[in-house]
This record gives sequence, C-alpha cells and structure tokens, in this order.
Amino acid sequence: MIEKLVIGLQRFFFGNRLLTLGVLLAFTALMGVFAAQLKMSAGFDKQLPQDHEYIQTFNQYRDVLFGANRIIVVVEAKKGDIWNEKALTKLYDVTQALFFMPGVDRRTVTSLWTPNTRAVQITEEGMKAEDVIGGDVTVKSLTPDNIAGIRERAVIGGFIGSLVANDGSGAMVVAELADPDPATGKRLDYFEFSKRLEDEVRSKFADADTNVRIIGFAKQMGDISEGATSVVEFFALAFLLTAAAVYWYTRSWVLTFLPLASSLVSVVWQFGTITLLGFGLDPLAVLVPFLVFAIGVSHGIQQVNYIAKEVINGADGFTAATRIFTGLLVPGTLALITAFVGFATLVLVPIPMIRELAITASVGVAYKIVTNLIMLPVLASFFSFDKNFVARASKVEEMRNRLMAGLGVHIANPRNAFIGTAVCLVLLVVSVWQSQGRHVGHVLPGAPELHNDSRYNQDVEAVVSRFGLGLDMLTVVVETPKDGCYKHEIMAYADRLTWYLTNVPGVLSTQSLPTLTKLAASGVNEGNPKWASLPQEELTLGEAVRQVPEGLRLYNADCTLLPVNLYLTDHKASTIKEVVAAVKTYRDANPFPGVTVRLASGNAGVQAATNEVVEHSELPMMLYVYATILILVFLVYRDWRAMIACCVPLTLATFLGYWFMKSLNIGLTVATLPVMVLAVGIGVDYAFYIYNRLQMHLSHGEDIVTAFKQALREVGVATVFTAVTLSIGVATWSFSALKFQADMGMLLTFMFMVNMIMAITLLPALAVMIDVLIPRRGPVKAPLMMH
Amino acid sequence: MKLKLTASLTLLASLAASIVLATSPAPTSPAGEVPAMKARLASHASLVSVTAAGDAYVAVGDYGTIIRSTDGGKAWQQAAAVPVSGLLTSVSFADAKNGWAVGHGGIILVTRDGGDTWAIQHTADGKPVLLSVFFTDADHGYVVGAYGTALQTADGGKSWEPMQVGEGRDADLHLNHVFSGPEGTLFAAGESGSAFRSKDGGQHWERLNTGVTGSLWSGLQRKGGQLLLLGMSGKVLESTDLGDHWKVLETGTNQALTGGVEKADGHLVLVGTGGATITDKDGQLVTGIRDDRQNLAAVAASGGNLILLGQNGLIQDPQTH
Repeated sequence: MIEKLVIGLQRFFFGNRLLTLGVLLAFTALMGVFAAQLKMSAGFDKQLPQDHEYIQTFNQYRDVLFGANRIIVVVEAKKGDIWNEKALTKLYDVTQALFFMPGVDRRTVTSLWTPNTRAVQITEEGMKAEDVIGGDVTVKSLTPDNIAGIRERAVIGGFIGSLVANDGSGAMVVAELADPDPATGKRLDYFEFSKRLEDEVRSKFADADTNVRIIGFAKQMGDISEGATSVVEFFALAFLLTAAAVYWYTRSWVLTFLPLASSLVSVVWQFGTITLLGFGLDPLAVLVPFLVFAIGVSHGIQQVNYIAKEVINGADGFTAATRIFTGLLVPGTLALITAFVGFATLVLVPIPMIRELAITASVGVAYKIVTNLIMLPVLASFFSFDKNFVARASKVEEMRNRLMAGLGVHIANPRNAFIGTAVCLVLLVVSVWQSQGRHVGHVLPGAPELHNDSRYNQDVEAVVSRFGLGLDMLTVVVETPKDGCYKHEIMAYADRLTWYLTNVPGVLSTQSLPTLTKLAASGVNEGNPKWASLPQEELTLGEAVRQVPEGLRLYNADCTLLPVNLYLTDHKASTIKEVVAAVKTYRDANPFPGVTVRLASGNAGVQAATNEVVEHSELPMMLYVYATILILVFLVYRDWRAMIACCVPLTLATFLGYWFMKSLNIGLTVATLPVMVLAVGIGVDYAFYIYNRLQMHLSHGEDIVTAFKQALREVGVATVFTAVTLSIGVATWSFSALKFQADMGMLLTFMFMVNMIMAITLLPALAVMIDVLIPRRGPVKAPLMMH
Repeated sequence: MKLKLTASLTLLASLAASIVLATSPAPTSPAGEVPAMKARLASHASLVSVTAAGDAYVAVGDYGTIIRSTDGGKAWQQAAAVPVSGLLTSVSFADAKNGWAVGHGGIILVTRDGGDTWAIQHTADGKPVLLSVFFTDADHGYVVGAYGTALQTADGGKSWEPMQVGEGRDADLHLNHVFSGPEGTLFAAGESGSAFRSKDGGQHWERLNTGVTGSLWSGLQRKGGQLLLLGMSGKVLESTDLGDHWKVLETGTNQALTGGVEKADGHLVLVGTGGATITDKDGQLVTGIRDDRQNLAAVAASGGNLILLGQNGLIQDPQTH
C-alpha cells in the first residue's frame, strides 16, 4: 500500500517538475518576505516558568521591590584612592550624566555629591544631619581641606562599603530606572540604554587613571542582546565550513548545492513562520534554525551519497533522482518524524522560552519533509553528471570503501564485539556514576549568560569585592494586613524570620524593615545600642519605621509588604535550594495569622524557580523522547533486537553528555535542557541509517558480520562525515560572546560526535553480540525503510 | 437574653482562642513570648551586656541570645533554653549559679544553673524597657529602665517592689545603669547627665551633681574605690568621694561610651560607639578607633584578655589599640 502511494507521489512530482518547483519557489519567496522582518528579541521573561509560585511572586512585586531596576556606576581610581580633586570631579560628572540620562528616575540618583547623601551624627543635643558634600562645595572649590571633611562625613554617615569602596579605591553612583517610562508608559529599551551608558558614561569618563564600571540588570540585558548579534556571523561561518566540507565529500558543486540549498530553503520557511507566529529570534533559541539547517544537511548528505552511488553505477541524473525519491521518502519521513516528536515533547516544559523553541524546531523539522525529501530529488533530476565526475567519485568511493571495510572487519568480529560491548557497558556504569550530582542552574559567579571574563562580569567582580555588596539576592516577601509595619507582633515575626534566615548557611547577610527599624529606634534614643529593639507602642514603632529610607524598598505605601532581602554567598543551585528549604521550614513551623511568607524574588529567587522546573522536567522529557524512539524503532523494524541495538548506544551517549557537563561546569539550565533532548533526537538518525542497512542485508540472508561490513561501507562514511561536518559548524559557537551559547555549542558538538561514534561502534557490536548469544529463529524481515 | 448570648459568644470565642493557642505549632512560652532560636550565629547577634558568673562569662543581646563561656571567653555556647526572643539589655550574677537578665517588654529572666537554662521570673507592669540589672547577692537585686522605671527585690526575685529613684522632674528620666559603689552604696546613671545614689540599699535615692548635661550610660567602681560615670560625647566623670564631687576626665573622643572594665592589672578599658576604645596610660586616657568602626556595647576582662561585644556580636580580635 505504502509502496503504491510512494510510486504515485513520484509520478506526480516528477511528472510536474516545473510546477512543483514553481510552487515551492513562490512559497519560498513569500516566506522570505516574512523572514526578512525577523527581529532579534532577548526576552528575559520568556526564560521564566511563569506559572511557578516564585515567579508569580516575582511578577507581582517586581516593580516595588529593590534591585530589579537599579543601575550602578562606579568611578574607580586605578592607583590610590578617590579622595582627590580629580576623582571626585569625575564622580560629580558621572552623577550629572546619569541624572540627565533618559530612562533614569532622577529622584533616585545617589552618590556622595547628591543632597540625599547625609551624615547623621548623634550628639547630646540630639541628631544632627548634614550633607556629606555640602551645598557650598563645588567641583571648582575642592581643596585638600574640604576633601578631608567629605571623607570624614562619608565615614560617619556609614557610606564606606556602600557609596565608597571599603578600601577607598572607588565611589559609586546608584540610580533606579524609570521603567516603564511614567510619561509614555513604554518599557525601557535595555539595548539602547546600555549603549547610551557606554557612549555617554564609560567612554567619556574612563581614562588612563580611572576605570568606569557599570553593573545592573539593564546593563546585563543590553550586553546579552549585543552578544546575541554575533550569532549571525557564526551562522555564516558554519555555513561556509559546511559548504567546504560537503564539496570535499561529494567532489561535485551540484551535489554540494543540493543539500545546502534545500536546507537553507527550509530555514527561510522557518524564519518566515517564526515571524508569522509573532515570535522573535531569541538568543537562546538561535540554535533552532541552526539545528534545522544541520538536520537538513545531514539528510541531504545521505541523499547525495545515494545519488553519487547510483550515478557511479551508471544511472543518469533523472533516474538517480527518482530512485532516491522512492527509496528515501518513507525512511526519511520516519526519521524526521522521530526528530519532530522529540522536539515537540519539549512543549511540556512550562517555560515559555523552551515552548517557543519546541514549536519552531518542530515546524522546521516538518518543513524538512518537503524540502529534503521532495524538493531535493526533484531539483536533482534537472542535473546530469559527466564522466569526469563519475571517475573522480568512484576513485574516492573506492578508497573510502576500503577504509570502512577495514573498520567493519574489526568491529563486527564477534570477539571484538564482545570486548567493545564490555568496554562500553563499563563506560556506561562509570558515566552514570560520574554524572551523579550534576550541576543544576548556573555554576559560576556573575551574570550566567555572559562569560566569566566578559566586561560585565569583570565589573561585577570588581564592585562586589570592593564594596560590601552581594549581587546574588533572594527576596522573601512577607505579606501582612494593612499597616503591618506598625504592629509590634508582625514586625517581631518578620524580625525573627530575618534572624532565622541570617543563620542559614549560604546566607551572607540579610536586610529587612525590622532590622533597620531597630537601628532607627536606637538612633532616636541617643544611639544607645540597648534601645535597638522594636518599640512596643504603635506610635513609637511608626516613628522608627519612618526613619528607614523609602528608597530601600523595604516596605510599601500601605505597609502590606515586608520584603526580607537575603544576600547569598553564590547562586549555585545547591546554595539556593538550601535557603529556599529553610524558608519553607520556617513558614510551616511558625505560621502567623494574617501573614503570608512568599517565595521568592531577586535574581536568586528567579533562579530557584527555573532550577526547580528544569530539574523536574528533565527526566520526564528524556523518558518521553526515549519512549518515542523505542516505539518508532519497533514500528519500523518490528524487532526487539533493534530496540536494544539502537537505544543502548543513545543512553550511553546521553550519560557521557551528562558527565561532560559536570566536568566542564555546564549546569542544567533553560539553555542546556533542550540541547540534551535534541541531541538524542539527532543521535537516533545515525542509528537509523546504520541499522536500516544492517537489517536489509540480514534480510537478504547474509550473516551478521558480512551484513555489518556492507552497511558500514554503504553509509558509514556518510554518517561519520555528517557528524564531523555538523560538529565543526556547532563548535564555532564556543567562541560566542554569550556563555550559554558557548555551552550549548560545546555540548552539542560533543553529543554529535559521541552519537556518531556510538552508532558505528557500539550499535553494530551490540547487534553482533545479541545475534551470537541469542541466535535468530526466523528469517529477518526487510526494513520498512528501504534506503 | 441578648446580653447573655453575647456573653456566651465571647466565652466561646475566648475558648476557641485558647484552643488555637494550645494547638498552635509555634512553641510559645507561658507569657506568649516566643523562645529564643538556637542559632548557628548566636555569638554574632548584637550583644550588649556581659558579666562574670563565677569562673564563667555570660553575655546577652538581641533575639533573646544568651551565650556563655567557661574557658575565659575563647569558646562560647548558646544557652540551652531562653523563653524570650526580644532584646536582652543587661545581665547580672550573684554567684556562679544564680543570675538574672532583663530586657525590652519588662522581661526579667532568672537562671539557677549558671546561665544554661532561663525562665521568665517576672514581667514588669506596663512592659517597660528595662535597661540594667544588678544583684548584690542571691536575694537582693535592682532593676532600672526607661522613664524612671526602678524595681528591687529582697527575695531573689520572687517579688519585686518599685523604687522611686528620681523626684519631680527627674522621675521620668531613663535610668541606664545601676551598679554598686563602696560601703554598700548603690548608683544609677541616667538620662541628661543625671546620676543617683542610695546609701540604704535602695530605700532612698538622692540626685548627684555631675555637672554635665549629656546622658550617662554606664558606670563602674574601681578597686581603689573611685567611681566612674561614662556617657555621651566621650564623657568620663570621676569621683573619689562616693559621688559627692565629679570631675571630667579628658578622652579626646566624641563617641558615646557604653561600658568599661578595670583589668586585673588595674588598667581601665572603656568602649563606645563608632569603634571607640579608651585605655589609660600614665594616668591619661587615650582613645583609639577600631578600623571597622563597629559600635561597641560592652566589655569584660578575663585575666589579661578582653571580651568585647558589639553590634555584630562577639569581637574576634578584641585588641584595643
């Protein structure tokens, strides 16, 4: 039945070749128009599991909590300290520049130069507050004397470690961003804002004596967007490398053109579709078009490999094209469906980014059925191949055959098969063991998207080490009844929670309204430390609360919100997990009527949610993908041996991948979770090509060793070549400015190579061993996929 | 009828409330106070008072933290049971076993085992802020606090009687510290330069003429019988005649002084806010400022070693300067 359908389709497409190509060309042109409108979009929100408890807290309070919209610019003296005319003048200029920069909330700009920086001194007469830099001091009137005064007041005011570095080597300007813009309601364009910071602050004020360091969420996002644009270059580089490799393989420009053109066409369709679906091209999802291209090339190489063999055997271009159409339509479709299902399962991960990626990847793979399995053969039928090509190709072919035959003899030799299998099984055990305790989430300090030695992360490192700042913040949100901050009992509860969390390992320091209120209470009582306690009386408590600067965002207008900010030692998943667990333990053991303790905001809170989702999704995802593969393998070969021979090597490859991740400190993240799933989907392709041939030869009555040698001769080189080609392309990502792209590149390269090696070594070794150990009782059925 | 219904509803409600209390998973002590948490960082809580208890040392501070050391201040352990979690301001021991601590909310705690387990002995009426406790022996003790609060006991704390320390305009002044002087005298240091003396074990008090206006936070008696009062703006006052006359000693600092101790070798160590430490050299007081500028709250001497407490708890490198 299927055969009849295939023949019918072949007659239709090859009978109307021009019409077929015309329609495809028109569609490509149309999609090309949409594809041209595709925009790069670095969506931060898309990376978050929106339905997760923590993310809902984060979203609900992101505009009222501290930190999300903060930008910090540090003027740092390369030698000495900032207590001199030049550095303080620079600090003044930077303060001014930030003050007048669009997107900055002017009221919040704070540095030694701003009037909101006051030193409070408690004397017998009461509290005395004065500006750290008084209104009478200007840049022009700075003298060693009044600089000494400024320094003294900065110390008294407690600004060492906050506005001034602990060692005096730098001073900062802090500002909050007006996002969304209160006038227009538009959200801030981080990319543009970040560029403006570079142009109007960094390049203007940094010089031989001064570093300007800029950190903050907006800058981080801007730098990521900028790094993402380099992807286009990697794509171009990968394309050129692939083209060169395919030419080396085929020795024919026509056969090079066919797979590359059809793969590019499907990428154009995919870009068009992404635009039509309303998505942008996200830096995280940029691997998808590339993968789709890679899958296309990988199938294309098998196809042109087939054409070359037909041509060498004397067929003309048209005949060879019709043969690959009939020969590969069904198996190709099945292989692509496997990949399709694998990608589609990613939709189940509740992170919008991964869902988007799953949809675009599935669509791209589905397009392959048309571009590779229909368009490529029809296009090929227009070309003819001269005698020169046949001569060249057969010479190369012969050489490769000898190489593969040599390899085949060794691998399929039953003794070697046993040894090989045993080695691989040991390797499996070792890799399962070694991959235990894999990292989840981001491992290294700084912004995880960017490299450790990136400008941004160097700035983070410098600022964190010189100022008493922690950048890994987890905010526990305490929701209270209205005016909760004036109720002693509620404040005392939040205070005890703060103290409990201060004692959790991994917590560096804490900050909350009650802890600062206690200091304020001491302040209004002559600064006596014995008064640093929450007043019992509502009025007295309120008086102390009002001393706590509003800018710290430790309470909201109607006092229904008491955030507890925890600064963590790092943002390793294990650290965050422990802190999150401690919060849950406390709130379960100490419920307080009317008060809700909610997790979690801050960058570490957001990561906690993502880590949980990614960690919980991984195993089910892998199981779905493997189940799909098992079912498809069974449908195609109707043989349990095939299921073992195809899936054991994949499993080993997966665990080796985990081991690789652990050794290279690549954590399981939103970026790497899909890579592992996709890698399995692509790895199964290699297995299909090899096993399909093996089964066909077995069905012809050949013994397993001969069958394997034949199979390896026919598709071995193409498989090895495909994997190497794809690896080279993906490996270029390792040089990406974005760390997660580099991680993905390295991981994917590794997975391509390992899957290939497994397909040509462990798979046949297993097949041989099973056949020797448990001899087949009946004849082998011919595969449904006739390559 | 309606009244009766309301009354029974109220009864029901209060019953329900008591059931809720009884089944509440949060461990609450009898007075509704939340016990102190066993804290990994107990010695890093803000600590404000330290005293000797026999050979041991006991320090108290925020979050109901009480820590004790039995090796002269090197290693510290948190007390096993403290029924409150607010700020404890002062601690005093009559002997190695019997000790008292006071704090915010009118809390008076007692220990009978040298400071390992504590119980609420008394809650002062109106839950005033108590600032200082001093026991002369296991029966006789004195407590002072905010707005002229002053209590005394003659039965080891079983019953407390109010004392009238300041009269008239002085009655509402904060009393920051109560301590003993020579010949059975008692002294109280207070707000706005006030200081008081009792020669009859707290029955009657008289205002002393200190000559200063800044608040006095602390005081001590030296082995030679001299009395010192410590206060804001770096004030150190000395009296050699049981407090009749006071003279100001130069310190050269403006930081408020929180506490002081006379070491075994007779040298003084005074501490204050902003990292101020004062020692005496050749009859002069010399001020140093610690690099961390941490507010220092109390000091004790164990042999030649100092035990220094501050806003971040026990100070690891207690050198002065």
